[in-house]
Amino acid sequence: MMRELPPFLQDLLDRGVDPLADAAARDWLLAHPECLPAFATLRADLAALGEMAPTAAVPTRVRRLRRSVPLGAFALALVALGLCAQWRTSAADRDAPSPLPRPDFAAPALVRAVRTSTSVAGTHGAFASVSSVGRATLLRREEFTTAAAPTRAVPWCVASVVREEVTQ
Amino acid sequence: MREHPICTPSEPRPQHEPFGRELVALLPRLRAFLRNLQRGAPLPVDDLAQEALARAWRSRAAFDPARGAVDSWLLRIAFRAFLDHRAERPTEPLVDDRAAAEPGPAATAALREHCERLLALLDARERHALLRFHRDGRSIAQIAAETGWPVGTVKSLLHRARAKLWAREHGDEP
Repeated sequence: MMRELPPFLQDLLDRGVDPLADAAARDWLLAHPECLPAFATLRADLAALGEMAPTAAVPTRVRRLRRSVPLGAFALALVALGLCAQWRTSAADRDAPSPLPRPDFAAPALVRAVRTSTSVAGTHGAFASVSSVGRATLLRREEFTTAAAPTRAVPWCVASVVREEVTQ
Repeated sequence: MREHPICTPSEPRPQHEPFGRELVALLPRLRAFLRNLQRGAPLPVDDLAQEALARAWRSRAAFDPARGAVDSWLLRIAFRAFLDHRAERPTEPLVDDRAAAEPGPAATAALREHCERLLALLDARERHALLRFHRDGRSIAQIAAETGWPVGTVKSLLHRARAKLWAREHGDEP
């Protein structure tokens, strides 16, 4: 005979109580052994749901939304970082002279070799350099130490040409 | 070493053999029942099944077919054995090797498939309420606050979802 899940078992589950920890529930189950398989299966099924990874059975729409949230946050962070860097650079240009000497740029056709560098925040940094002589290109990474940590006047990121050779 | 509960040599075979065979035939169902009862702490399923069969065999004279089927009678005995085991070893269960093993990719996939089969029985709101409550550990009040549904509605959805899972097992019975 079909017997429904009794309301007092539902109430125990609603309260987060394991029915096996409740004496009345145990007595009821012993008095209704025909319900024991259903009870054991329900208990196992609910435990299985608890072990399931959150993404396993989430509807597609929710999954798509969850995926887009970190991507959106990452994009926002990138935009904020760019704006911050631009503000610092423009503030440095406006408020103080550049700490590095700005070389005079030759016309592209006259440049035989060039090296660019990028410094990073802190007193330690690194730069990648590309040297071109004729058709040969050399990529090199070097480390350096700055005299002082960057300030608002001295931006944390400076990209500049530090050496150039001009054909005669 | 334990004595086999079914094959006690001193018993008159013709009278008890059919009953013994009936008990043995129920062994797969008995083990499945005990496996379902294990939650968190692995159970010594084989030991408990053996214990239940031994108790059933010892008290076979008390079995009255007019009061219920032999499977319900045996499951009640197994449930008592399970409760006794819990009472004796509340924090130190014996370990069933298979249950204690770290679930591999196949077991994880099987679990996911099983859960998806269960969730397919429910409508979208029941599924949401059940997952938030039993998977994510949210309270009924928290689910109500998240979804904007009244507390009574969340409770009702949860009850309907559980009732469907419960009815599934009843439906599987012969």
